[in-house]
Amino acid sequence: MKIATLGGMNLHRRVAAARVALFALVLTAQSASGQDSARVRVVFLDVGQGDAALVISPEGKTALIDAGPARADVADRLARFGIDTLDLVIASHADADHIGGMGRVLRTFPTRTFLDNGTPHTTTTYLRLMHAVDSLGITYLAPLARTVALGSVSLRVLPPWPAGTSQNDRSVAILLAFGAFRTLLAGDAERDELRYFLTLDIPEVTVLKATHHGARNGVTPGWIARTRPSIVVISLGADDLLGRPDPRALRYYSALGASIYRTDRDGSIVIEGHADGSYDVETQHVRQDSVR
Amino acid sequence: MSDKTPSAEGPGTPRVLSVVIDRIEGAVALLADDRGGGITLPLDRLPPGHAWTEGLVIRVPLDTAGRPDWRSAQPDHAETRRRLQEGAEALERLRERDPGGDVKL
Repeated sequence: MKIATLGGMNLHRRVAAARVALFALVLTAQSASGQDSARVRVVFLDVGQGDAALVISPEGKTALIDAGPARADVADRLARFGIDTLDLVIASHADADHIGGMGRVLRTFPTRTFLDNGTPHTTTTYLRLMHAVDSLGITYLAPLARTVALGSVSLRVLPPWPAGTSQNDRSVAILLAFGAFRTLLAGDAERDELRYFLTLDIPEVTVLKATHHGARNGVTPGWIARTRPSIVVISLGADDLLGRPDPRALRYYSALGASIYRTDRDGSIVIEGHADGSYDVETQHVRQDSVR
Repeated sequence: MSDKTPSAEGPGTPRVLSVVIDRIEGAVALLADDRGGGITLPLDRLPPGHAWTEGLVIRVPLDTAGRPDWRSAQPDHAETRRRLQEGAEALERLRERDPGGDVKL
């Protein structure tokens, strides 16, 4: 377990026994408490190759951004975390490693609203997901330039690149803000869409989810210079077929001194953000290279 | 939404696997079948002369042992268009529920 705090002070604690159980217990207790005025929690779930991130506002409001591949069974993971309803489910784009587990999530948890990239796909997984949103009567939110208030957490929607022709380059991005703490999640956006996002007044952020699982085409010098993250989270499976994370991408991410967390090594990653911009990071697995 | 994976289409009819190119990563196609399963396939296993692009529905003959004959794969443009239309119509229906503007949850 690693806990890092902004301000140059890093605290590493090793908890060898039952750390995974503790990880789940902490989440359960916190989410069940409903009220926690001090922090927003962003949980990057280890779903293997894919993305899934859970946001829990200080008021206990919940949003799920992507739901990993079907085999990751995110619905079961959320249930074990004590989640029983979702205020918002977002599909950044319609690739199976992002929406494979989403249909089951919607059928398992009463969900108030659903937002996607508004770009049809042809897979059965996608079509069934759309039918689930429809038949369950979930309120649909189009990927317009708009803000969704998740309690005291602001989720700014960055619409997909209008000229994008692939699902990746039609990713809808979410800029989460809780006071001075900001997290940016942009699906699998590639270089061209990242350049488009840079025209949308992107601020510096605390946490940047690496787009496209740490691929070389998921980062540009301009993107990293603008966002200047303190933390980069890469969500990917072990032994990625395509060799991600790409070493050149890693060099970009680390050039400005960002701490890099990877779900393939760290397991699920919990980041607690405070309104003053400070944060704590807790990982599911002990980082052998960081225990002191 | 069709469900043809893999399917016997009648006595004497070759069995065919229907998959969709979910995405292309470099030289690899990630294929999705109709049951939520996935197949990772190097693009050069597919026959030349076609534009193998994301979202394309592909029909692949199965041999007597049930193995896909990738070199004989064919794009199914009609099914691709039908599915795109189905998705677009679903989105159109859902957009009618959008309250518009900023949202407070």
